[in-house]
Amino acid sequence: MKKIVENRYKIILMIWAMAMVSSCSNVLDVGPRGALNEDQVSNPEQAEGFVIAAYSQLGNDEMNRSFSMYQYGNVRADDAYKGGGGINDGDVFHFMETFTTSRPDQWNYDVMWYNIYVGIRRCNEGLRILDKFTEDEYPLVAVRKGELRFLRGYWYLMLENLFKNIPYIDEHVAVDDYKLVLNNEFTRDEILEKIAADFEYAVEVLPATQPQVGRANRIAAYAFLAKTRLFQAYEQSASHAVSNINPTRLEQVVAAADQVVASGYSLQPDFANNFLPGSYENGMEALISVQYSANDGVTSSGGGDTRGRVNFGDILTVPQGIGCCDFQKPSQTLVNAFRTNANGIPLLDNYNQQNVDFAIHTVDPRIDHTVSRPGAPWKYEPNRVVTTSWSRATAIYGTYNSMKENVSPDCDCFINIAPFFGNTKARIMMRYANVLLFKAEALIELGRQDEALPLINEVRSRAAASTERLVQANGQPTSNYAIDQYVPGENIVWNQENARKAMRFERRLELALEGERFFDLMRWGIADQTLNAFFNAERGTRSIYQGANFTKGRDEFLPIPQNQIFWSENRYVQNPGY
Amino acid sequence: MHTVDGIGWGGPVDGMNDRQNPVRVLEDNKQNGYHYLRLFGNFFADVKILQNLTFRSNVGIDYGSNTSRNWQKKYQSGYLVNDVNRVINRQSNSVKTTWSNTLNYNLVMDKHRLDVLGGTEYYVEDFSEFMASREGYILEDPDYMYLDAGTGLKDNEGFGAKHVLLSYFAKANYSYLDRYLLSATLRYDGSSRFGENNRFGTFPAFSAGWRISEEAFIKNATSLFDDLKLRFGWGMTGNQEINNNAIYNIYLANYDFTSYDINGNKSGVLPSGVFLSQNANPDLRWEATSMSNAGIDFSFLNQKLYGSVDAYLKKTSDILLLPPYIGTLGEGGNKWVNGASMENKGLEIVLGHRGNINEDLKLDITANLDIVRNKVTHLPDEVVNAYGGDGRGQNILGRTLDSYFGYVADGIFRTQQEVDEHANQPGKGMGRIRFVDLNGDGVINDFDRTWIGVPIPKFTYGFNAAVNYKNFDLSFFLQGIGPVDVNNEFKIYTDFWSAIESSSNKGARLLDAWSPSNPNSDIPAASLTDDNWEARLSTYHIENGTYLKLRNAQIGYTFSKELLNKLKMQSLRIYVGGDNLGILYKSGSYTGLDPENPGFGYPNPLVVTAGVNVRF
Repeated sequence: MKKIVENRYKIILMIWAMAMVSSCSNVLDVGPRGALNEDQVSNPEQAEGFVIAAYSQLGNDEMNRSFSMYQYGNVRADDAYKGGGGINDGDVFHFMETFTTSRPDQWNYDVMWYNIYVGIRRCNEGLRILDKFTEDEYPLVAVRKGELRFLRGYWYLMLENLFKNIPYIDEHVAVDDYKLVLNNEFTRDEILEKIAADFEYAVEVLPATQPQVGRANRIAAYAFLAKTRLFQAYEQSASHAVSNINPTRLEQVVAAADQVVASGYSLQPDFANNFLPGSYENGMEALISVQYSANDGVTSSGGGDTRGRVNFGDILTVPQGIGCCDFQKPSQTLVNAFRTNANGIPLLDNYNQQNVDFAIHTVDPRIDHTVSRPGAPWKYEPNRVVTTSWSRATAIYGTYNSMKENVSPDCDCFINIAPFFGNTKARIMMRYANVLLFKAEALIELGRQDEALPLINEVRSRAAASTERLVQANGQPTSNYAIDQYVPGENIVWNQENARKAMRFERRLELALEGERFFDLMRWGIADQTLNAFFNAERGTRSIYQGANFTKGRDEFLPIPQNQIFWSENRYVQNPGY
Repeated sequence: MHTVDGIGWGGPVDGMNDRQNPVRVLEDNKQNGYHYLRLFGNFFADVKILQNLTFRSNVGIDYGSNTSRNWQKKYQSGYLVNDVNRVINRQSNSVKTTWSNTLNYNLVMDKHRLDVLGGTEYYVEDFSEFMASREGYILEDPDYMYLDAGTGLKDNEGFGAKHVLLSYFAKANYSYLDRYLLSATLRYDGSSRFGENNRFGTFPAFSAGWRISEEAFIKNATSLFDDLKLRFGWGMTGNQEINNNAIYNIYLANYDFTSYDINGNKSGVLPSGVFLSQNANPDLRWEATSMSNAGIDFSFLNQKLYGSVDAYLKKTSDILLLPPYIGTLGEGGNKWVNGASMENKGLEIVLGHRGNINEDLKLDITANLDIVRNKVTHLPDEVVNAYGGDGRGQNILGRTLDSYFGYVADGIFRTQQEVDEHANQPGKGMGRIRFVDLNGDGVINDFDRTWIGVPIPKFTYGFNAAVNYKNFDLSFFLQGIGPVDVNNEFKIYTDFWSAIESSSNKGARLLDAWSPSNPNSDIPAASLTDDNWEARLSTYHIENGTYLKLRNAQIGYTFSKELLNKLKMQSLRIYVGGDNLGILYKSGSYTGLDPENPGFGYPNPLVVTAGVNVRF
């Protein structure tokens, strides 16, 4: 009996063992956990997700690579100093704003390059997936493609204006061929043409209004088309000099801008409305904005907090008085530009010969929407007066702060991302006023400056009407405002040269600290003379500019990141001068 | 550290950087720790099928659980503020199951001995983790701060992973007269981490030994040898240490980075999407290492001298790698590949002595010396730059893996003439580091980099001794390495003001920086910004990491039996000793504290122990 039992055990054990040997290799089929494959995402419902993910990248920036372009458009230009704790707090941006020590291996250029390509790749992946569907299977397929091509155009325009000689990759390039696409395959003009083609496609397929406020619509596409054509109009030599201004492109700017002007968008009655949170967000002047949010279940930046998708790119520009860390300090030169003469006209030629004295001089009201200073209210709050202690390194960077991207600390949109403070105010990517000025610029360069005059005056009269919120606790205006329209023969001789000067000045005042300035100077081909004059003017009081010098033919664009030349196996060509 | 009331936390002041108050960070985190629980065991059944044939089935389980409850406290430290407290609970479980079935056959026949083993092994590793957190606690107290007491935002995360190994193996050992020894192994290993075509790898091995001391011609001729054995072996092993998902094309729905408030609601659950995170590589295969070694074991004159000498050649091919990639690929550039191949050549020598010098003095000493040379022998095009180099032809091929690639520093500029005569080096100046213009084009740039250091020591050695004298015993262990190039990453904090995190605390070496009044210093002048880019990897940071350390030592005293009998004890020993007792030697050129940890500003902790061993 015992023997039988024993044998039975033996048999069971042997079967046990055989079961294992024969179960064999299908036990090794272990799929990925918490991940999807291409088949699982290739349906219309998930394809929507690719579009959302592409939009998401608009807000996936952070303090060291801000898509608002505050570092590359404002700090690098004559509108702002780097700011922060000192010259070496984020030293790569100090090197960038003084140019002479700017290097191809600076990490900040590499992360900017990479993260813009993240945005492009998300668009290309989405387009590749969307190409699998017909209109019957997925009625919105054309609109969604239009949105993706809009976003791709947005990223490429940013990239092209930063680095110039870039590899252009669309959704048809195979993954293994990416590193073979060269950065000198296309000229700047050819790349701008491809960018324009994306916006033209978007114009064709996008509706004039979208049911969701965050999505790109046809009008936004026209605005970016105008912007692209305007950059394209200023043809550049290999050494970045403006070699020709192409009238056909200028006509295209006017045509695209006219579509925006004919739309339901318009200037806000008060300039302030563009820079206030809450019901003012996504307003009548904002053609498209980056949407931020809080209490949305998102764990941000390294899992440290759960406050949500706030404006991480601009998180450092909050002054010390209400948060941290006092970056982006408006320059004295910018502040001086807001001074007006008794007729309310800017001092176009000699504005920077003397610092503005707010007790004596008259100024354009836009200054108190744009720049804060000790003694003046913060963000339209008469009882919250800025002091010098709001600034961190006053001897180096002065006591001005940037206000447009900031909010009142009392706003529930002001979010503590310890130890920083962000906010959820939507950031305008394209403003109606900007489009009016694109059109004015194109008209002036076409010699039709008389048609540009009313556009510039429209912007100026809105500015003149924007003083209601600019009052102190005693009810007096914050500054002495004087601003008027240009009246030919009365306060200006309206020839092409003066119109050009007035238009360029107007862009600076209207769009100050909105990330445009450096790219304007680059487009006009006057970055060298403007910035070297700026360094000469400020060198005496601003030690950071002791050795600063802009090298024409090099500094108009950033170097191609050394790291990317390396990964291209030396196929990429460095920009001239670096 | 504190505000004047002695309670609040001090914060940064003008001119300081915006880093956190380190005392606050320590104090606010000291309650945070974790609990780790591990349970393991196995069940087996043995069946004797025949006299010499046994079957064994074995199931082993290894369970690990890690839990923690961390808090983040509120603080105000100058302008650095956090006004919300938070509790984060984490829990992870790992279950590792091994099921093996083996047949074992033994045969002893006359002078032959044979041992054969065949079997299968099935291994599953399952891992899961979740995190839950909540904000808003009225009290910051350990008895209060549980998740359900919070009133603010909730958050959670989770993660799962699984991988499976399935192996078939056979092993045979044969010896004749205990004099000739042979052994062979064959493994056929499958891993879920590889694609269908390459799941399994075949890994054979064999070894042979000849105990010469058992041969008559030695045995009869001399009694010099206790043991003398020649060995030779060759074998292959596989490596599959890669991400579980390595072979797949992966799209991730990472809410944090794919969500967007497209409706402009400002809060609430956001629409979200997916992004391409990794490209498939269905051809991924096992990394394989083959190793040949020849050795000799010996023992003379009753262990007056014993030891072994081994020489080996180890070749590793298809090294598994997730290489960095070109930026244009965006997030979707990750792809696991089989990369380079390399070769290690080595020699290991161990010598020992055991003996009694007289009745009272006994010695037991061993010493070892290891020499290894490493070289990359094959570099596929796909990964040609993944191991360093300049992307223009200088690469790791033929060099030691992880070799340093950088600039050559040539002292510092001491006169304006030296500055003027040097190549165009952006940021150069008096007191600044001079970098060598290797390609002679008159410009210092990326083209002036070369291979500047080998991270493997020329040799390593150790010395272990135990000495007994009467009732005293003394033991110690010395360990050291020969010349090696280390990247003294801490030099960036000790020698520079602005190469990293300026306006924070720096090392004392900076006090001796070059200046017109200190013209002979080799430390570059302090500067407000690193215009000369001295933080770059250059020979200035590469130093000789040679060291000899007293790893541990102990001295003890054992009381005599006579005394113990009175105290009714069996034994009593008291001792004092310690670990990491000191660096006996380091290269004079090494400027940091401890060349063993060149990227770290603190020495290994010195541990001193004293104790009593009692047995009743």
